[in-house]
Amino acid sequence: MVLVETRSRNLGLGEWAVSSDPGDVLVSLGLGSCVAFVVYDAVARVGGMAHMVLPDSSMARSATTSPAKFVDLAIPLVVQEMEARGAKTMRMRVHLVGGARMLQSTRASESMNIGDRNAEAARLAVTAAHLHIAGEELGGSHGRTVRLEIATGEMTVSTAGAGRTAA
Amino acid sequence: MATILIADDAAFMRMKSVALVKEMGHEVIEAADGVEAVSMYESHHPDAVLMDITMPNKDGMEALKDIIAFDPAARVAMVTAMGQQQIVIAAIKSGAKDFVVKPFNAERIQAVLLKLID
Amino acid sequence: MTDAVSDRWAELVGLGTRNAMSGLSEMTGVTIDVAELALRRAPLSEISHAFGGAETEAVGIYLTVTGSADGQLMLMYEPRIAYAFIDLLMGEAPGSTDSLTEMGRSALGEMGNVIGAFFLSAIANVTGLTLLPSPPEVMTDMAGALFDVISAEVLLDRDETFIAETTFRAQGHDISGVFMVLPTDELLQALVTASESVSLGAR
Repeated sequence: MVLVETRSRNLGLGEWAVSSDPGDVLVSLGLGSCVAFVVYDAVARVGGMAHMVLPDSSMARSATTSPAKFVDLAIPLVVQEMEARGAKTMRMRVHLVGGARMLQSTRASESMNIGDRNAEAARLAVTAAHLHIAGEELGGSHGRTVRLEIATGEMTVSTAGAGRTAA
Repeated sequence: MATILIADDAAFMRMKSVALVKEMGHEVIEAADGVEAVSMYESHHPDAVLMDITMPNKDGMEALKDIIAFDPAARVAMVTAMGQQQIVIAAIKSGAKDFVVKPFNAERIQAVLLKLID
Repeated sequence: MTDAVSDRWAELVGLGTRNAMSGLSEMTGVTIDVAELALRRAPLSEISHAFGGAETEAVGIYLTVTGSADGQLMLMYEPRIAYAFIDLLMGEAPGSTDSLTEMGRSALGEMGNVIGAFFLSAIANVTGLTLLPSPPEVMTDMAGALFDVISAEVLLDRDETFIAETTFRAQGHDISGVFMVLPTDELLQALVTASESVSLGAR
């Protein structure tokens, strides 16, 4: 076993990254209604992650310089960069994490339930990219943090005040 | 002894107001939103109403209008943190007899109730 | 945002915040002062850094603003501070509260009501606008997850947000918190237009 010193790369809202550096750990902290697209190719040892905020770029009320805040734009961006680094779509293992319903009141049930809409948009975008979803941790009413180790492809999800689950 | 309807969506505020008004020797009935407030008024005909404004389902201003439509002599005081002039004026126009800005103190509530039920 | 607009915005936020803190002091019976009022423009990727990191556990009290224009208000506390506030509001001995019960949640919600209403009333009375706070929503989670509630709405408009962030402290108590105001573009514009016409009229 080779020990590698790891380095966390925290992705803020609307940020994404693809890496083949075995020292990298890609992280999205405190996902609420946001959804993280987490993808790994175990053969090419390339991993990617996007911290997505909104389901659809057609919702935008003005031009954006951060396309990755939208689910429909972020997923193709990450997949394209994965392929550029030698990953193959048929080998890509995808996890979707987040999409919680943070507001419980009735007024928040419809239009403001952005968590459900992000989750649904992410499933659609993954299918459209001809990828297979290996696992989901979506919905609920609590925030999550997700980490992806590039060296091993191991993904962990943790919640506030609770333990971690490995995928 | 009079019957007072306390309408507030916050359980914490109801707890405080109910204790205060009971201490003054009145009977208390409670409502947790505007819809409940209107139906409680119609079924119990309380002597006075202490009505919050910011409530789900039906806010206090709408509930006030419904209660005044049902009983033009209804004695309703708005008890709210919203001291905006426009809102005070609108409440008085809609038939509110008084306006208490929260956080309230015991003396102010006592004075309002005396005025309402006298 | 021009300098004139941002000056006016700063003035109104300062006015509203001072009024909100006096409401909070009145409610808790403890003098609470503004320790720092920061007005900034934060890129979206940094929003959650406002509260000591996205994974920090926090209690958030969230209100939306409607009426003449829309906006969002959020109060955030470390859990132990939220519990200290509940003790104060319920008249319990310090240290009595160590979890969020329904009644404690309601007490914090009422605190949100008072702060939101006092903040908005001060601004409404100066500008002549009607600004209505929604019923409060009390949440406890990672700060990042709480910020998502705000961000989704803001990021529809732009990639960065105007944020007014007040840190407040109580004299002689270990109490502090953050009060955030996020206006929409429409609200900023409405506030500035309204307060300009008011001050012109006063001259």
